[in-house]
Amino acid sequence: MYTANGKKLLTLLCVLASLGMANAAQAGKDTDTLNVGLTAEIATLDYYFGSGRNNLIMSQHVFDTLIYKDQETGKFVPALAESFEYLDDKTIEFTLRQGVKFHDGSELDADDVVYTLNKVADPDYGVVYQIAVKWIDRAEKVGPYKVRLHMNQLYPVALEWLAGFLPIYPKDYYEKVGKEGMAVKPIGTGPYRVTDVTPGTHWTLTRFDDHYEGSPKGNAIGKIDVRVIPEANTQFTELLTGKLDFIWKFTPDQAERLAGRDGIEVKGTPILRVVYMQPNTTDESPMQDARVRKAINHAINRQEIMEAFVGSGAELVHTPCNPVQFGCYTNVASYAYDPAKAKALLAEAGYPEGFSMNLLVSHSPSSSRPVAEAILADLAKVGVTADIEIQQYAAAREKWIGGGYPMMFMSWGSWGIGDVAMITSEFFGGGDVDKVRDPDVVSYIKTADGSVDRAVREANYAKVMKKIAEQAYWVPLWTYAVSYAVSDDLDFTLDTDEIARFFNARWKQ
Amino acid sequence: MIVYAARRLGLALLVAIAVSAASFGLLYLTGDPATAIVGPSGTDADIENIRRVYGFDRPIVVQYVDWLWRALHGDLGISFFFKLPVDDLLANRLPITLTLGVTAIAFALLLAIPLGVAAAVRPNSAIDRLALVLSVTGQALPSFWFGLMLIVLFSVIYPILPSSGTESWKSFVLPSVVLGYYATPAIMRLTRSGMIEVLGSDYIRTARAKGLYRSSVLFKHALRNAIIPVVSLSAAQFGFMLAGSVVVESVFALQGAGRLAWESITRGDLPTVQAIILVFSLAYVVLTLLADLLNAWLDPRIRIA
Repeated sequence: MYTANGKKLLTLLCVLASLGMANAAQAGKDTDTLNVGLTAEIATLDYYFGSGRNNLIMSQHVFDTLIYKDQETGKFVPALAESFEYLDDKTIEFTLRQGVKFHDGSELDADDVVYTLNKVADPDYGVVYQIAVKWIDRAEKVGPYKVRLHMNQLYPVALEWLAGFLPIYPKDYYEKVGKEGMAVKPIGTGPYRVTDVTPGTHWTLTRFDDHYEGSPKGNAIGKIDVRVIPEANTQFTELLTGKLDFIWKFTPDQAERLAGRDGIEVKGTPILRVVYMQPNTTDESPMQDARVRKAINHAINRQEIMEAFVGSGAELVHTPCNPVQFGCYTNVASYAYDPAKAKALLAEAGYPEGFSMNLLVSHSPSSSRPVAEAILADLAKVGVTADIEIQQYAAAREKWIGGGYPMMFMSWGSWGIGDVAMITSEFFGGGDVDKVRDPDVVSYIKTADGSVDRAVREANYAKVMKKIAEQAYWVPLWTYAVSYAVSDDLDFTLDTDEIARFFNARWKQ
Repeated sequence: MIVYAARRLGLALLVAIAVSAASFGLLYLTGDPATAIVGPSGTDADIENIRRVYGFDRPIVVQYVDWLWRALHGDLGISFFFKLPVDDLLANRLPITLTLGVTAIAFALLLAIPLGVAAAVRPNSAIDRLALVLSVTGQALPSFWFGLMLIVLFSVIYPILPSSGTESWKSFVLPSVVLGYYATPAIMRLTRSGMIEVLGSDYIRTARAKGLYRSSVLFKHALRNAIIPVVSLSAAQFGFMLAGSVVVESVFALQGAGRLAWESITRGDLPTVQAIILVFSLAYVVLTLLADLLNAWLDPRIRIA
């Protein structure tokens, strides 16, 4: 009811706005302030203890990493480190750039890098995402501007983590103020410094004039003012009245209604996130029969549902990964929409009348109840009915691991990293969330994850993808696209890794 | 009276502690806090690690007693989510909720009591009907819808008031109206029925017979007696406004304690939820106590009893 009312209301709101309102969408440009509206709160500015997309976005503005991934070319370029080389499979040596200043005026050197990496790699320190640091054995200072990073395993995606997820902290400052200080008064080397914070609700970032020369990041706009506005309709009002310059993650129908309003531009970007259903073949259920899993793949009219619920730029997928990710071999068995074939397969498997099950839904904008209902409507046509149980991710994950659910509907963003180690290995590598546990698949993944030879990795991931598709161990649906709206004055494009890099934004002349 | 008040206060504290113990257990039923802290991208190792570092692997009773002991010493702990002392968070968010609550109840009382009195003076008249219509709509309007309509009117069509934020007093006008309007019907109806009853009583007839001014009879003699249940109701409504302003806070992006509580529950941020529950239950209990004392002041018979 809430959503239905919300939609009608938005229409009314937009009509009223276009009738009665003078276009005021100049405010941000006039004051050189980029006003950003977010829905979710940012926990702490101590990056390593935050979670979620917005935390990641904020950290990229305030902090820098040793290297940086160019989103256009996909290449790793120098950042705090002016160069790096692999001494052997498990050791990387970084030569740091000299003269890089932190926001408090102190200079970056090897001590800061060694301190940060060793601190966050220590499991007792309790960094939230251990997967980002657990491959680090230790960092070692070999000169005032030289650092050697030792890995405890062969780890092909080390550079991915280093390029976006391991910001360098100032040793002296962090030792002095700790987590609490960093949470509200973070000091980094990034293109913007934090000048005002109301925890959880409001942040002001101001251009850092001493940001190092040669940085891959820009800071053309003087100020970035970030506010949390939980209600989407209030965000639309603020955007239409020129009090906001950027909002994102609304639904395609909302995007349609916003499009064409004066003073704003609505855009969409396909991102790494993929949407899927995951069968559980380890517990007793019809899902243990490959014919049933194939039938479900055949029964869903994915094209139609995707067009209705996902913005432009999304694509159908047939693999448990996003085709743009490294290792996502796509030449695999696929299951076209064919309800008659689905029915035949179900009959063959001993379910001529279909069956009913519990479907666990991990709720997110990309895996919401309406989408789940649409999928279930298709399944009902071949006799498969389901009770939906919607949970926030945390609770859904717990229930899934606990077992007893034949299927889960969710989406996965792979941390914005273009490598299948971030998704396929997570769900088929034999861990707690792996409810298939195919010994072949687990062993191929182990080989692929533990090698730095791209050919070996590619060959093994290809075997993984083939087997998963053949056995229909996964019901791949589509990639996801994010809708966002910016004020007309703003030149800004959202990158496909779902990270809003406002430091690359500028005002149109 | 002081002894009575002190005993009430002691009982109130026990109630607050009981509430916090119950809520501590309930929070565990809603999900695993370690999974909530780690968020959507955490691996099993991440969750296991958090469970160990935060001490969630200890028995729940031990965790509760540990928390209570510290809370009694003024240490409400560090928010899991914000990594900040909960005291600081509350110092930040409570004033917003309090301001909203006070202005909303003030709006409700200023609208409801005069309307209720007017309706009681002339039952079944046009003004009584109008009051009835106002109260029915107040009860029926979903507050998020009403809030958005006000935004459309006063922020978009006639941009005179802000639609979000807490920068100035102006930011509180629309949310106070929305939150206060919801409480108006109950207060108005109670004032009206109380006044009708009192106006029919003997001492009012006597007061009128003495030739007192109409206003003096209405406000000094009648209202003072009719308002006693309204005071209790208003205290309860005020408590409700403090704790139940989540929707209004969301629509107007007022980041108050109500929203903080709601968000903290979904994030499994135990220390924050616990602290807010403690503060709100204390506030509720104190408000009820104050209402009783105020009633005693208004009505000497209560004092003696």
